[in-house]
Amino acid sequence: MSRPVVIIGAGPAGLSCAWELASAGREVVLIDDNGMAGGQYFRQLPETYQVSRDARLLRDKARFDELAKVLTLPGVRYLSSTVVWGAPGNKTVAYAGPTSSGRIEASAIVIATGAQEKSLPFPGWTLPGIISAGGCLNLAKAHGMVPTGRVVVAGNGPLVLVAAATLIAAGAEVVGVVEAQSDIRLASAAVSGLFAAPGVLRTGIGYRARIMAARAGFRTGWMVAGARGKDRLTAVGIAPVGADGRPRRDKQQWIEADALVVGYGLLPGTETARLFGCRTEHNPALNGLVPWRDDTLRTSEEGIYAIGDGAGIGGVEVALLEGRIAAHSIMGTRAPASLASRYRRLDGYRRKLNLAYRMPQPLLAATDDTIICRCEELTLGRLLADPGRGRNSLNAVKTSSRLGMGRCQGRNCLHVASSLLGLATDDLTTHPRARPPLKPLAVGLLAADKDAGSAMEPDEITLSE
Amino acid sequence: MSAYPDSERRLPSRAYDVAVIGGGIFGLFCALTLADAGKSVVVIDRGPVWSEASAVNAGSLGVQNKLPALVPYTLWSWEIWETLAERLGADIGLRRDGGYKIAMTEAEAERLDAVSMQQKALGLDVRRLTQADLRRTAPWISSDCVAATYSPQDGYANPTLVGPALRRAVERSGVEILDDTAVEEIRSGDRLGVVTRRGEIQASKIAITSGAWSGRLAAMVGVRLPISLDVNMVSVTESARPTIENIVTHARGILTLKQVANGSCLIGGGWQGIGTLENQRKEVSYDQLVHNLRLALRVIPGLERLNVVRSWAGYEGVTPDSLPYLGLLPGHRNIYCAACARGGFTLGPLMGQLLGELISHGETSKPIDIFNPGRFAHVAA
Ligand SMILES: Cc1cc2nc3c(=O)[nH]c(=O)nc-3n(C[C@H](O)[C@H](O)[C@H](O)COP(=O)(O)OP(=O)(O)OC[C@H]3O[C@@H](n4cnc5c(N)ncnc54)[C@H](O)[C@@H]3O)c2cc1C
Repeated sequence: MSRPVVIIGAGPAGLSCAWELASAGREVVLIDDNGMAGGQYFRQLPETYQVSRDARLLRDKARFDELAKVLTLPGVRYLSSTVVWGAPGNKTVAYAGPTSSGRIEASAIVIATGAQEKSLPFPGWTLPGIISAGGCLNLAKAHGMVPTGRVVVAGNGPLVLVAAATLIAAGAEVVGVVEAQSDIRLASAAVSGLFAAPGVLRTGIGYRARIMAARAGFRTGWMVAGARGKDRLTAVGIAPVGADGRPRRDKQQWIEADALVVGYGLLPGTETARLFGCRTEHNPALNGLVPWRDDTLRTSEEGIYAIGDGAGIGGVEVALLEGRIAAHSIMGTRAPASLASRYRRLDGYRRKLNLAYRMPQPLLAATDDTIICRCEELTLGRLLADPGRGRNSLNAVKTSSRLGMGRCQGRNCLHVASSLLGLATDDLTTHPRARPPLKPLAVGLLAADKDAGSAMEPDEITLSE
Repeated sequence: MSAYPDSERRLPSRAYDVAVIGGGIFGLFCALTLADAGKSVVVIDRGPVWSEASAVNAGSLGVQNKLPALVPYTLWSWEIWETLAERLGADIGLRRDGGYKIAMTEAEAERLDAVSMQQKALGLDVRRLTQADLRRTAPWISSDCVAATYSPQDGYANPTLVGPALRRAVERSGVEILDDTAVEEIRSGDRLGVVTRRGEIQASKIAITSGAWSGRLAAMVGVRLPISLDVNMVSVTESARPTIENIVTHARGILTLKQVANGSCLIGGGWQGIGTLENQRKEVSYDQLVHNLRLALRVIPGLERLNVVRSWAGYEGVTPDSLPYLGLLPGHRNIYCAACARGGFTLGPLMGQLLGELISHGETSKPIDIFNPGRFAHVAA
């Protein structure tokens, strides 16, 4: 029996890769830890929900329905709610899920695991009523839930526009939209988009038009400086971004609000690639640390490919194209010329866009009593006073303070903590370690691994007798 | 760039009374004892101190899982543990709520009986429990466990809290700590010294407390110290409602489990990961991890839905008879060693202290003959 191609992640990148492979008759196993395919962008309402026309639009449902047909093709095995938790051998994945836990030896592995959100701690950021842009879009798309009352959307990057426009379309009362980047820098990206990616640009302009039409008030060059409220959010403090990346608190203004949606950018999620031994590099045009790839989208490791936001932030259109290109590389076939040229254009544009949104200084809004690591409840003041700091390494601070050692394993805090402590932000220590299990996984699911090799009990005599 | 700005500096040329090589629990307790005795001491470590076995271990301070010969030493070491938080002026996560050692088969139950008789004779407080006793006192343990012994003397401490507090105490007592400074060579003879890439350090005496690496250091001065390598694995879960009040071990020593202060559970038991000192890998073995978790689940079924957030592996050096090395290296007058105890986190405070006593006074408060580092010198390599 020939080995299948294993695709990790059923978002736009993974689905389009599966489609290209399966329609050419290749065996594919598609694994995703969500209950439903689609990833972040194509996240759909469960079948049983009633759907209004406008809500359909938000989820790009027509396009998703077309793409999702791949799941029914012969040769495609789709494991939903299933986590790839390790790399137990060459081109082998260990997976665990409610239907089965085991291992698969692949002919090729495609890592399409998407991005993670960057957090920006500010005074009051843990108040109820404050939610991340990604989380908020999830709730809106998968559950039809939008925040009630007056909503402020703030952050840095295209996700700010997406979140604001989506919420407005879904009927939320958006009273303010706050983008940290200055208009001048964004305008230059818009101009280059006119030629390279008119479609993407049109979508962006559409989003902005929706925000304007809703009279939500759009500000650029401002950031969240703080949040106020007793048991829940009542007001959001915003201030112009200073040259040092911190809010100019002397110019702070308060906006009364019931909900704050924050999205301070996306980082490629690289743990899976790193666990498979893929070499990484730092690339600001791709929003940070990414697996190194050649023109075929292969990583440094033979037979292992990385596509979509996990290989560099680029959004849905880039992800869809990368899926197809990787499929052709795996099959050794030539991608149609139109595909390659379209990819070249969009890839060039997303790099410009990422750079246009990139702040000259990392944004920092925490004060001494702001919690930085929520799992371990560590404040900035506590971290600044940590004895491990004297040794100038994030790892030393981690060991001595337990920063990033809780449930999220540093996904949310390490990056920002490193900037706040004045340490390097572009090295591996600021990323969660690539260790099995890649994601928190129930003891029972791990123990159910049907393909585990035989037990070698520890040498017992030395302990008990 | 090195993680330690200081580590690029060349060393000041100065001579110490004692150079301690290796800053794990053995080395730091040795240094503390020497400093208290008025010696000038430097601790030299190839990494940051407290980053190997002492930092990554499971934190069990078990009495029931020690070799009979080590039981008295375990109790003496516990005397140090009991007052340590006060001495260091810091929370070290120490608990002594007792522990269950369980048997899943009749054969294991018989073994529990035999071992616990021996332990009682050695002065341990160990009680044999029937299955019914166990059901009553620890209903969270599976009814598949046919028997257990209980000792109120078992406990645990948190290695990530002990390390930084101990380091501060060691530094306060005037000891110099050199992180990220591997010892590459030891000059024996008239002018004793150690060579590192940052320069040479002079010392009148040398203490090798280099854990699993101690054999390499001894070899630098022509001594064969047989040590084999274990790569022990531990897993930690997310935090859960406090339920498991005691440490749990296994009649055959293949499981340790505890729920610590923040509610997370630590699961270990000496299941082996992958790596060698040469390749410097310390990786989880997928197969053995799964078996470790299966066993944990059989003993405590309530773990089923709890998420494992992290698994890791660490090096532990093991001697042929599983007893530590402690004393002068054979053929040397001023080079000492303390290393490689099974359950070395439990025993480390005492072992380090005894070595400090030996170096500063020439004698120890407890007998150390059975730990003679020369005991395998006659065995052919
Ligand atoms: C995963 C795991 C779980 C464990 N669980 C338990 C438990 O629950 N209870 C228990 O009692 N015991 C446990 N142990 C055993 C215990 O951790 C060890 O026995 C103990 O920590 C050993 O302390 P040490 O100071 O000798 O060694 P280490 O802590 O390893 O310190 C040795 C030091 O020497 C340094 N070194 C090495 N070579 C050089 C060189 N050339 N130059 C300079 N420095 C050098 C190293 O960098 C290191 O810092 C466990 C061990 C492991 C690995």
